[in-house]
Amino acid sequence: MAIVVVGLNHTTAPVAVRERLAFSDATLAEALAHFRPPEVQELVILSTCNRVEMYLQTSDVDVSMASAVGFMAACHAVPPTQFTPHLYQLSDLEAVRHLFRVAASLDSLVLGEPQILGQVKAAYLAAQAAGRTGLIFSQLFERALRVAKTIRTETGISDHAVSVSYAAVELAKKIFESLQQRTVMVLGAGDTAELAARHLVSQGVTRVFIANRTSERAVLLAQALQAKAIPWEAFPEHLAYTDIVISSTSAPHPIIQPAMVREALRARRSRPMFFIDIAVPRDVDPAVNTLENVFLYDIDDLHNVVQENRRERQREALEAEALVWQEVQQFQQWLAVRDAVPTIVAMRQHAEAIRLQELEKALHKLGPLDERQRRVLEALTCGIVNKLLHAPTVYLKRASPEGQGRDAVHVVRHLFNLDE
Amino acid sequence: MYNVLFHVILFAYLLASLLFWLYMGLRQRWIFYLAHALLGGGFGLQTLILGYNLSIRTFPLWGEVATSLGLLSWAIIAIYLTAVWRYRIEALGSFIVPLAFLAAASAGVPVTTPVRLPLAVQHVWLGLHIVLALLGYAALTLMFCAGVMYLIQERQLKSKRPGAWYHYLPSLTLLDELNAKALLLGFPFLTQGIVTGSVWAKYTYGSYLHWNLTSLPLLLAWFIYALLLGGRRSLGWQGSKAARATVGGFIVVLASYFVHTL
Repeated sequence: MAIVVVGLNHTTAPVAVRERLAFSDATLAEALAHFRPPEVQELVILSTCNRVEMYLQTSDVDVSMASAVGFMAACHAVPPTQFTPHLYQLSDLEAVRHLFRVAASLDSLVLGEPQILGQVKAAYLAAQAAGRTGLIFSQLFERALRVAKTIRTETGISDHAVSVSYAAVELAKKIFESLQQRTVMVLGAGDTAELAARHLVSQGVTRVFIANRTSERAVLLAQALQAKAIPWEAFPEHLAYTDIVISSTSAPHPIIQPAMVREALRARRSRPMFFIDIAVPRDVDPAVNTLENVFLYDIDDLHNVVQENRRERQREALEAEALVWQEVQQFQQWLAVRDAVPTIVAMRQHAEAIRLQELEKALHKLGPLDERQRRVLEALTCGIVNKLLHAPTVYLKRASPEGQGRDAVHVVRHLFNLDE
Repeated sequence: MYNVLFHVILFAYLLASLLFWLYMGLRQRWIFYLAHALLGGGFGLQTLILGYNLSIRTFPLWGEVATSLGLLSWAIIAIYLTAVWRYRIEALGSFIVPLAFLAAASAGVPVTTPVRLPLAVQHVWLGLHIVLALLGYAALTLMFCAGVMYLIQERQLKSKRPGAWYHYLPSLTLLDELNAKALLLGFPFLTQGIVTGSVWAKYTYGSYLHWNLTSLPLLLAWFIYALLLGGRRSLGWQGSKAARATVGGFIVVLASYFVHTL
């Protein structure tokens, strides 16, 4: 019995290869139903835009890996030579660790991204619905989902924004606490400004002003965002009512000067303001940042925040890796204990069968015996068997919790020839 | 007995302070809860001792200026627990609990046998005066911590290089709100403290303006409160200015206290 994973992901294969091997929901159900080589007992297929992986519980690692590759090729009508260089094949501990890392988003393109957990769960449920999971994969995937959730809540791996617009929202929340009831002004009606404004609106911003040099664009965008278009000339006087300014005009020189902001601050009794300047060349004079209760981030500043957050996630990932490793070992133990019990039973049955056989032979040769003599012979053979099997039984039981259980099982099965 | 209990309380506050700092670095939930358990235990014990002393109608805890500091730690923890319950600011403990520990530590061991104060001094006005004034000081301490946190967070945001502090500390708006609420809570406490204090002075010494050890810091603190309140109300002292004024005011009061007692 072995756990195996065969697949490719965003680091090993270009998108041109991944897209050809990806399973849609319909083809996934079909694949789960049709891939049934005799040596594969359990199967889960995980297919996302960044990875295609087949998890197998098999009695023969090499054969089942080969048939999985063959199946992928046949299923998508892609010659194996085109994707085998990108494949990775992991087995046992490494395969378990890989699945746990994938579910915890440690193997994702964006470290700590939240979607993968749902995708792993969906893949597991699909396999379950198709009747392709058994006891081992149920345990394996339940544990993978659990460790992923633990990592998300106990480490900061998903805490820090790693895109510019989310970083802007996060900064705004560190200034204003909540964005409910806040007012945003969008200067310029470009796509980036629209995207940032949409993020803010989704966070509860209630009032949005839009000003653009050509007012038709402003009106159009205002309709899309349920905002209020204001004439370009009117934006300075609206500053006093605005908490967050997103600026992305194509003006060649700064359009917002410290004096203008100072006046707005006076009118709004120094309540804080946040300027997000995503225009190049910049729209807001950098000196604005020196004003009290005013915070100005230009596009480079936001990129720096994102960079720093990435590093922060990487630091958190170290802790997550340790948690994954712990869980892998616990799963290993579970497997070992699970493996040890049938081996002990098999070993005893095997010995008992030999004992009975040999006892039968001896009784036959000895001829008629009285009850007491029979009992002595019975006790003698039982005693020999028990004394001989005591050490291997203890060895199996003791080996299980220390993670070498599977080796022990292997040794004992081999020594006693239990698999024949 | 008081000796032992006092050291138990002191040790609980010290350990809680260290745990809050540890939590700042490690961000493990269990450290946060353990720190609060220790803090709650120490606070409960202190409250019991206080209640017992009140019930036997002796005031050993505020017999001297120094022992009133022990009571100040009690007031600070009381204000902190209220603030944490209301605002859920996890970072607050790392700032304010060490101050409560320092207040308790500098109080020294209280007198072991409760000294029965002369009947005239034991007047109920004195007790009221001291408890109210101390709650006023404790609120000022809370404002100071909120102010320090505000200034750190503001620097993080202005520098555009948000680091560990940026993630640990709450938003500027929340810290400013905490500052404003503590001001509104503390000002009446302190005002009452001054009024009851002068009434007590009138009863005891025959004058409303008797000069004793605690009156200078008390009056200074009151003026700083009034200044902050006025600044917020009419000068638009929001955020940064309010934070800086609070931190400055707290340091002035502390300095005057030490100058006055030494």
